Amino acid sequence: MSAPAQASNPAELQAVDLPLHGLTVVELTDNVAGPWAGRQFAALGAEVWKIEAPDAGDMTRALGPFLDANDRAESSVPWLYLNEGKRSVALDVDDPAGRDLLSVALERTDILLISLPATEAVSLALDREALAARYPALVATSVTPYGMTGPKRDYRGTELTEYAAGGLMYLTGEPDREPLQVGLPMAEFAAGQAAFASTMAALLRRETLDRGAYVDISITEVGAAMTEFQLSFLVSRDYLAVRLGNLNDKGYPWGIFPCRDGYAAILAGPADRWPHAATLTGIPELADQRFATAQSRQDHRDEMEAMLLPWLLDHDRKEIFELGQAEGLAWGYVRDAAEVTACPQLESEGFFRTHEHPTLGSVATADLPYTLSETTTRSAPAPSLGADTQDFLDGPAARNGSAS
Amino acid sequence: MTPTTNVQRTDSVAAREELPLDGVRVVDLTRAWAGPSCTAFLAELGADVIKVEEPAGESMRMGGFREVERAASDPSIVTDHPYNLSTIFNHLNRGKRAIAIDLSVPRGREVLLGLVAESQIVVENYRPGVMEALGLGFETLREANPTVILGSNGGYGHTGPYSAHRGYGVAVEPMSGLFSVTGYEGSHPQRSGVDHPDPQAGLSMASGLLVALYRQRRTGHGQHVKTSLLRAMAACFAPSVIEYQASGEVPTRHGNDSEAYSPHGVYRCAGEDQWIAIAVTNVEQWRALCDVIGFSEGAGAALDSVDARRERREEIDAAIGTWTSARPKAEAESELQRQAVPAGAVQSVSDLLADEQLVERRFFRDLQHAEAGTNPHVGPRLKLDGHDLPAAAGPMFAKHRIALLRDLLGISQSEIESLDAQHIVPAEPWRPAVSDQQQGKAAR
Repeated sequence: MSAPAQASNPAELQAVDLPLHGLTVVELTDNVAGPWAGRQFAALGAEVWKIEAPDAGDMTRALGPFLDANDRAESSVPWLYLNEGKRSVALDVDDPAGRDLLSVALERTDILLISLPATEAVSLALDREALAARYPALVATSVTPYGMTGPKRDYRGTELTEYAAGGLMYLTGEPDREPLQVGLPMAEFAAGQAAFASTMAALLRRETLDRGAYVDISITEVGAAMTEFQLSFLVSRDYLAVRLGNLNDKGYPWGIFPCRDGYAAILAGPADRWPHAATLTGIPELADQRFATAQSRQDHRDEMEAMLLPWLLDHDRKEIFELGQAEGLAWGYVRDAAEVTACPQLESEGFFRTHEHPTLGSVATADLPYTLSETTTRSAPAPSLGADTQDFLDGPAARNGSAS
Repeated sequence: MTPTTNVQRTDSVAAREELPLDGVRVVDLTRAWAGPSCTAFLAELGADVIKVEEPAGESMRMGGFREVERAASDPSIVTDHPYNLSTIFNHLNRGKRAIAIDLSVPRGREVLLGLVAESQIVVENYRPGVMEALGLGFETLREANPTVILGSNGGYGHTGPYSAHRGYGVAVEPMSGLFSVTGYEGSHPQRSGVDHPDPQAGLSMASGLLVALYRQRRTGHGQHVKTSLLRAMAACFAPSVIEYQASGEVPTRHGNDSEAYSPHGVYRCAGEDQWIAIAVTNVEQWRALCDVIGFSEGAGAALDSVDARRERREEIDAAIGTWTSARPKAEAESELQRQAVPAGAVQSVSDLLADEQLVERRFFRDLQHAEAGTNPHVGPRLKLDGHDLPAAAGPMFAKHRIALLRDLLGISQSEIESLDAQHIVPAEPWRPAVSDQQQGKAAR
């Protein structure tokens, strides 16, 4: 995993470690957001017990693609990625006996990640008030489609409906067609990242105030927070942002454009580098005064496009990217999974790697989105359903014994 | 020290001393979006974030965004301080304090290192090597503060073949692979409407910094936390890489379709450009949907499997569309959700401002700014112990100069005046004329 700093003496050696070692996390979540937060706790050294329904497990197990058609529940790609390094406990929390075991475990748990709808959480005594009364030191983080209060607190959601409700989908797609989801669960990933960071903050507060916390994250709100530019446009100019296809209302050019072998990202940024676009394309008019400001480029969009497009269609994506970058312009291009896999930058960081799964063999995976210079991360395949139930019963959920 | 920006409070707002990062001070050298979105999140969590701008003011105060250009050219807008009016600057820097420091001169660097000595975290998003060139590399920061944590957010990364490349979210997003899987079925790649890399990297950086802070409290060791726009997005794209490596097939675009769930799509509602997203994830929801829309063919077991429903997708989608297009999206959403069918109205920004759930949870905040007026802002991304978190508008230029220089660093009044007169810590934005630049530096 990320290379730890070289330790040259014993005092430094102590600092080279897993930063969250010793923390116990119980994860009662499914879909992407909660598990994405849990995966980071596991990679950073915490013990993460994932509670799954005994019959089918996490709903993500049913999401394709699958690496083994004969064993779909154990080979779902999103399941494998989001649940690395965790321990799977098959436990029915709708059953009183299962709930009792969970209660015992929560006494010994530092962090609970939970994604139950509000009314269900109350009925299982896993709501804010019940948790605070029974486990005063517990840091509980709820991440749900709409949050745990308000008229929509029991509404169900998936990435598709969350991307819509949070204001992101309305902005994506062609103006004359239906709004579009993006191809990755970005509302869930963003909410999961906010949930992880918020939980870390609440854990820090526990050290100073000596009590737990209840964090309530609404995936819709994390999505809505990403529309801050569009809200600013509405406030400052009374302009309601709409779908613009591959254009961008932040400026022009500022988006992806067709080129000879696909799509290139062209933008007038950094702003002071724009005149260099004239040089590298051999279209001197692009440096004209009438294209000098963001507003004037927007105003003369058609005229500029008429100049740029023939040049773009005469060049390949990667060539455009390299020509732009050589002139200090932040250009790019649309890459697919094969190209991202082979990305020399990500390769130099050792970002994608493989690990051995007990039944699937060598499986690709990736490091965390951030690196820390003096601590390390760990990687282990996602668990099979219920693989660690006995350890859970003998450990955190043991009535008389002590937690492992 | 408590920030002196206007803090909006109601009875249900958490007290400052209850905030998770109360007592944590952050020196924020970031510009544009990703870095400021990281530090805005830290401010939401209660950190005292000191935004350090260049003497001319961060470019977002003035450049590129048309409301400022309009303020400059519209005679009806009377202001001596256009740099305090940028809605987007004030939005991205909500909850922070502000000072401007010329880091190119030794005295400016001394002031900055003084702030670093009083802080736990420094965050920057310069291009790789710029901090070192300024004489502000991690080792120098550590001399000023041995336990300091440094966060560096880059476009493509801090080492490696693309590290010198310029990375803006709008171009890193297609480089991350996202657009290769975004688009209508059988059609070309499509961009996202919001540019995800910046906010995603911002939250990723905040995550790494808080792990480092947790570690620092135990060991007394600081660390250097790094992320990039590319890495933050590649972490989300990884499942597509896993799929490709296993199958050799490149994942492509499937519109709003899903292989696991059906029906799964976006349907037209009554009114112009009004839509609702519906995702049926199990057979109970399927039956409930059929009940609500009166689709009698759904009653039997024939359509209980996803595969069977996907085979008759056109017919089912048409039935749903007939039902949704007869009612407003909010009504369709509540009718479906009442039967526990996942449905979400496709909301514009003005829909969000009026959304009964967001209003009830006080997500958007009307924040008061002394010059820009009172405007709605996106709110904190969490509730804590059943309370709202406080929020404050972005700072005016150099608003906290005196509080920081005098109260935090103990610098004398005459020295503060001299720092202003020499434009090292200016009270008003200062940009040297090109011909004055060398001379000005020599004089200082």
